[in-house]
Amino acid sequence: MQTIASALEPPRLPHDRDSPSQWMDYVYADGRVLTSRQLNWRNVDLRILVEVRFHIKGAIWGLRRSDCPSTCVELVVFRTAGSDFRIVTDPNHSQRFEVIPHMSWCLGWTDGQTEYLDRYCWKSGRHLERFTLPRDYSRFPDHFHPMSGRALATLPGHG
Amino acid sequence: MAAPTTEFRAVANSLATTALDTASERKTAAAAGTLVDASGANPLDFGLVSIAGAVAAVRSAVKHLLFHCTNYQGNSQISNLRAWFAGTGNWGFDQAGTRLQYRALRYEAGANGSAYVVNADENSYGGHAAWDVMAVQANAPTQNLFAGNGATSFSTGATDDVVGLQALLEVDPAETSGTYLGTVTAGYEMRLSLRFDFS
Repeated sequence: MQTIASALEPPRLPHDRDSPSQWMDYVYADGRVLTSRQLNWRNVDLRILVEVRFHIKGAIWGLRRSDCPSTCVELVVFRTAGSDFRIVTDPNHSQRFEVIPHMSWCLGWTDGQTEYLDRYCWKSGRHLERFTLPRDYSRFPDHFHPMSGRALATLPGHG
Repeated sequence: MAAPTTEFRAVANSLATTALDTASERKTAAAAGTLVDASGANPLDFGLVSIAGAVAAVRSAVKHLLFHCTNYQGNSQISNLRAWFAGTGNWGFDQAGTRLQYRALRYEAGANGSAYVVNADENSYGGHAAWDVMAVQANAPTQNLFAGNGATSFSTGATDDVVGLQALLEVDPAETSGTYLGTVTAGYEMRLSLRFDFS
C-alpha cells in the first residue's frame, strides 16, 4: 500500500519514512514556518518562536506564545516512547498478546517553576492527558531547548 | 523524526565493577549481553522458584539487565525512564506477596541508584526487604531507572550510557503454580511496560 501525502504535508525525508501524516510546525515571529522534517526541535531558534503546531493523523494541535499566561517564559516540546501490551481475544483462536509501541508528543509551556503540558497520541492524534511536572533541567534535560535559561530575556514579549 | 531504538540485554551478575565503571565499558557489556524482549522468544528467565512446602516467600536468583540506545535516530537525549506493570493483566500473579523486586543501579559515583554489587543476592543492598518493588498500576510511575553514572538522563556522544538494574522475583508460598511468561499462557503473564522521554 502506498501512502500519499496531502498537499499540505511537507516533503518527507528518508528518516521520516515511518512517520506519514505526523510532523510539527515551528512558527517564527518573522512569519517563517519550519517543520520537524527540516530541523530537530533542539535546533529551533527559541528566541523568535511564537507558535508550535502538531500535525498528527489529520488532527492539528497547537500552542501560541500569545495565548499563554503572562507568566510563560518558554514553550516546551518533547516526546515519549516505550511499549505497552494488549491481549487479543479471538473466539476462534487462543489468547495472544501484542506488543504495542508507545509514542506520544508533549506540548506545553513553563513559567519557570512548573511545566504545563498536554500529551497527544502519535498514532491517533488524540489528546491523552493534561499534566504538570516540576521544571527541572537536571532531571528532564530533554524537555528543554538548548537555549533555555540563556535566551529567555530576549524572547518575544518577554524582553 | 523517529524515536530512538532501544533494547534490553541480560548480562552476567558476576561482571566485575571495574568492567563497568566507565560508560564505554557499559555500552560494550550491553552489546555483548543476551537480548531480552517481549516477542516471547527472548524472555528474562528467572528460573524455577519452588514454593513446595514453603511457609514464607521464596526468592529467585538475581538477574542483571542493561537497557541502552542502539540508534538515536537523530535525537540527542533520553531521560525519565520508567518501568512498571500496567495492570494485573500484565502481571499475572494472584498473591499480593508475590512481587518483582529490583534495584536501580549505578556503576560509578553518582546521584541516583544503588552502587552495583557484584554477584548480588537477596541479602545484598541491605536485604530483600530494602529492595524496591516494581509497581502494578495503570499509569507510569515517577522515574525509577537511571543512567549508569547515576544521572537521570544520557545523551549521544561521550556521555552515552546504559541503564542498569538487578531484579529478583519474590514468590508468595500461596501463589498459583505455573509457568509465568511474557505471553498469554492461561493467565500467567509477566510483562513490563516502559517509558522514556527524548528530544
